[in-house]
Amino acid sequence: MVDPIIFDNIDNMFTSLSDDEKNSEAIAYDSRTFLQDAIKRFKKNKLAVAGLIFIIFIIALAIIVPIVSPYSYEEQNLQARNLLPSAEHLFGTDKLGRDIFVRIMYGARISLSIGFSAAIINLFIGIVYGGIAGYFGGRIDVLMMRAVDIIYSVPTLLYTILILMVFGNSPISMLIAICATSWIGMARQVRTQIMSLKEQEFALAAKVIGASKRRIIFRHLIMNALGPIIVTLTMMVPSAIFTESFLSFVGIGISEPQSSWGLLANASRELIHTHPIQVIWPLTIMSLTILSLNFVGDGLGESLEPRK
Amino acid sequence: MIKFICKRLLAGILSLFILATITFFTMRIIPGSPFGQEGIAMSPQVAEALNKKYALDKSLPEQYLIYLQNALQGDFGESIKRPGMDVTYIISRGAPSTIKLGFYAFSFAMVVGLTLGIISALTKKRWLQGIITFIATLGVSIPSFLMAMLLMIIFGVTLKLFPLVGLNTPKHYVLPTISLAIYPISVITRLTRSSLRDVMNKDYITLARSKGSKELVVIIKHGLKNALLPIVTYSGPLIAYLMTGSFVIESLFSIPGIGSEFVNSITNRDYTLIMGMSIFFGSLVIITSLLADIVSAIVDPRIKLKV
Repeated sequence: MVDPIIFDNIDNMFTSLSDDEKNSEAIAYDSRTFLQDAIKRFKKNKLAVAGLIFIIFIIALAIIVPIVSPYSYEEQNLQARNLLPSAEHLFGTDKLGRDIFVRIMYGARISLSIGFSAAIINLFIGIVYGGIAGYFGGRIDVLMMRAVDIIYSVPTLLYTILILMVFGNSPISMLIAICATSWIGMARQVRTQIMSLKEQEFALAAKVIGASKRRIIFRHLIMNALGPIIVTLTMMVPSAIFTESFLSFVGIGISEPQSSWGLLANASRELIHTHPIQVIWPLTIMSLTILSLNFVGDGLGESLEPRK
Repeated sequence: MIKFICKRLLAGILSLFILATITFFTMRIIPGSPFGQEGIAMSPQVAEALNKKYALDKSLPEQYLIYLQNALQGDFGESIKRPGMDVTYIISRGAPSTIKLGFYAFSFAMVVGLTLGIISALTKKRWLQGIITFIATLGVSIPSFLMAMLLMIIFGVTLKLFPLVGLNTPKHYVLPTISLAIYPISVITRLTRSSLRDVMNKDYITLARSKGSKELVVIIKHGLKNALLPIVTYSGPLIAYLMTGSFVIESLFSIPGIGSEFVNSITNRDYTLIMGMSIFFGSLVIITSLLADIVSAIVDPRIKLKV
C-alpha cells in the first residue's frame, strides 16, 4: 500500500514546461538529403553559379538563334562582306558576307554537342572498363591497366588525327576519334574509386546477402563513387570541345560550309591584321564557355566531395 | 633499381611497337591510293612503278616487315607529295626551330611556374594567392591556340610590340614562347604550391626550424628540395606537351618547325610524312617520359615501390 500523503503533493512537486521548452527536442529543420546539401554548397560558389548560368545561356542561344534568325549559317551575301557589328548583324559578317553571330551559335551546336556526347560516351566506357578492373583487381586489373598505360603513353592527339584520317570529316567520326582515347581518364578514375570502396563494409554486406557481382559493381560501388565521376565528367566536356576545336583548327575536323568554334577561329586567323574583330568573337565565346565549364566542374567537385 | 628500369624500358619498347603498328595499319586502311589525284588519270605503268617503289605490290605482312625494318634504321621513305624529299630530311630540317622554341618555353615555364608556385604556397596575403590561382585556372582551361591568338591581337596587332611571323630575331620568340608556356606554367604553379604546402607541414621542417636554421635555408634546403619531386616527374609529360603543343603554335606563327610540317602534312594528306612524323613524335614522347620516370626513381627511391 502506497502512502497517499506523497501523492497529495504531486501537483506541487512538478511545474509544467513553458511552450519554448516543450519543443526543445523537436527537429527544427527538415533533414536534408545529400543532394540538397550539395546544391546548397554549390550555390555558395559564385563563380560556379555564374559559369552554370553562362552555359545555360549559350545552350539556349545555340538552340534558338539558328531557328529564329533571318540569316542561315551558310547563306552568302557578297554585298555585305566583312561588315562591322550593327543592329542588323549583331557580330558583323565574315569575308563571304555570312552573319558571324549565327555562325557562332550554329558552331556552338556542333561544338557543344560533340563535347557533351563525348563526355557521356566516355562515362559509359569508363565505368564498365574501370569498374571491372577495379572490382576484380589482381591479374585482370594489371592486364587491363597496363594496356591502358601503353595506349596512353603515346600522345593521344596522334591517335585522334590518325583515326580522323581513316573515317573522314564528319561530326560522328570526330566523336569516335575523340572518344577513342579520352575514355581512359574516366576508366582510371572509376578504377581508383572502386578499389577503395570495395573494401568497405557495405560492399561486404552486399556480397554476404548474395548480390551478384554486376549488382555490386553498378548498384553499390558506382553509385557511391558518383561524386568524383560526375566531376571527371564535367571536366571532360571542355577537353572534348578543345580537341574538336583543335582538329577543326588544323583542318581535319568539321569542314566548311558547316561551322564549329575551331573552324571559325581558323577561318578568322588570316584576317587578324585587317579585321581583328572577327577573331575576337569566336575567341571570347569559346574561352568563356570553356572557363565556365571548368568553374562548374570545380564547384561540383567542392560540393560533391566536401571531405576533400 | 635495375629491375625497375628494365620494366619501364620494356613497356616503352612495347608502346613504340604498338604505335608503329597502329600507324602502319591506319595508313593502309585509309580509302583510296595515295597517288590518286583528282582529274589526273595515271597510266598503268606509272602506277605499277610507284607501287613497286613504295613496296605496295607486296602482301600486307611483307609490307609491314619491310616498313618496320626501314623504320628501325631511321628510314621513313620519302614524302609522297614532295618527291625527292626524305621524311628524315624534313624532320631534321624543322627540328632546330622546334627544339629551340621548346627549350625556351620549357625554361620559361619552369622559372615562372616555380616562382608563382613558391610565392602562392608561402605567402599569407589572400589577394596574392587569389591572383595566382586565377592565372593558373586561366592557363589550364584556355586552349593554347586561343591564348596565342589573343596575344597576337593584343601585342602584335594592336600594340605592334612584337612581330607575328617567323623566328628571325629574338623578338620573334617572345609571343610563341609565352603562348606555348602558359599551360605548363599553370600546371607547374599548381604542382609546386600543393607539394610545397604539404612538405612545409612535415615534421622535418619543424625540426629544421627548431634547430635554429634560417627561414630561407629551411625553405630552400629542406622544403623545396623535397617539394620538387613532382616537378621532375612532370617534366616528361611537359616535353610531350611542348612537342604536340607546337603543332598549332608553329603554324599560327608560321614557324618553319616540325610542328607546322606535321600540320601541313595532315592538310596535304602526305601519308608517308604523317606516318614518319607520328612515329617520330610518339617515340620522342615515350623516350622522354621514360627518362623522366627513371630520373625521378633515382631521385626519390620511394617511387620504385609504387610501380
